[in-house]
Amino acid sequence: MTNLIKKSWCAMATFGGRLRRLREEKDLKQTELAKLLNLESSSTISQYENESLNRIPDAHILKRIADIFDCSTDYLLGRTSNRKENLDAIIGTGNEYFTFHKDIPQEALDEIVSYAEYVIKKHEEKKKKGK
Amino acid sequence: MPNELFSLAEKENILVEFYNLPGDILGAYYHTQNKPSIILLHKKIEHSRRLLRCIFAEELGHHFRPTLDVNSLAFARTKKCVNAKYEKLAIFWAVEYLMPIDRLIEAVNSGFFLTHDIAEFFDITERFAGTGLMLYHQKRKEQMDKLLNCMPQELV
Repeated sequence: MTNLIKKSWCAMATFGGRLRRLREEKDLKQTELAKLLNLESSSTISQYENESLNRIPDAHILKRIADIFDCSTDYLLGRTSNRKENLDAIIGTGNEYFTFHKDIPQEALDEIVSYAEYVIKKHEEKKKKGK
Repeated sequence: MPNELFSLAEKENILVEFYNLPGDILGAYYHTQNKPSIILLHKKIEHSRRLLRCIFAEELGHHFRPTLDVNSLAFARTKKCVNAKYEKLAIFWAVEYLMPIDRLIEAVNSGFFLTHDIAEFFDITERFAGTGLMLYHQKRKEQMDKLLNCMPQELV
């Protein structure tokens, strides 16, 4: 397995590189990550990151790492550049869909508003008829 | 099930429609003075139960935590967000509605530690569960600190 991954190595898209980046993004020290993973010492993490001795974690630890960093194992292994590709159902990435944005084109806004107005108008007409 | 959300919307006199929203918009809340408010949900999430619940609840949050503006239009999208104050209010309403803190404590005490488990417990998306934990951590610090003792730290 290690060889397979090694073949597809390119900058950053390696397990070690990705692990380091994710860990640094979370502001975790190697020792802290080792603790979270119930590993005996942080040198294991260091070996993973530096890819020394071709060390790669077993499937259980890999899964745990994916849980901690909220990404897919494929991403960790460098098979995809999309962090959460396999996790979110149906709708693309589904991430952080909560907000107000300025980059929505005006036509889209107009379309939504006019449709909303149309539904409201229809609803009110129906109500009037009902009376 | 989303049914309770639909009946809540009906009770509040909010219209709900499924519509092919343009771009990456998954949900929209539109409100004008003296008229019923309307929530538009993207057709493609109609059968994605968890996502529908989360987005629907977030849009309902705009109704229960309104802005001062007379007219308002708010969106739920797939892209990364800029945090606006009233969006946070709406999400927090949704969080409190879909994962009430007392039930969250119950869940954690009965062994639902990870965001994944919590999402399963409340029937919501993982991301939403994560957002919920984060917001609770900011706003209900005392209760969350107690929970922290039995949760892996990286979650909050």
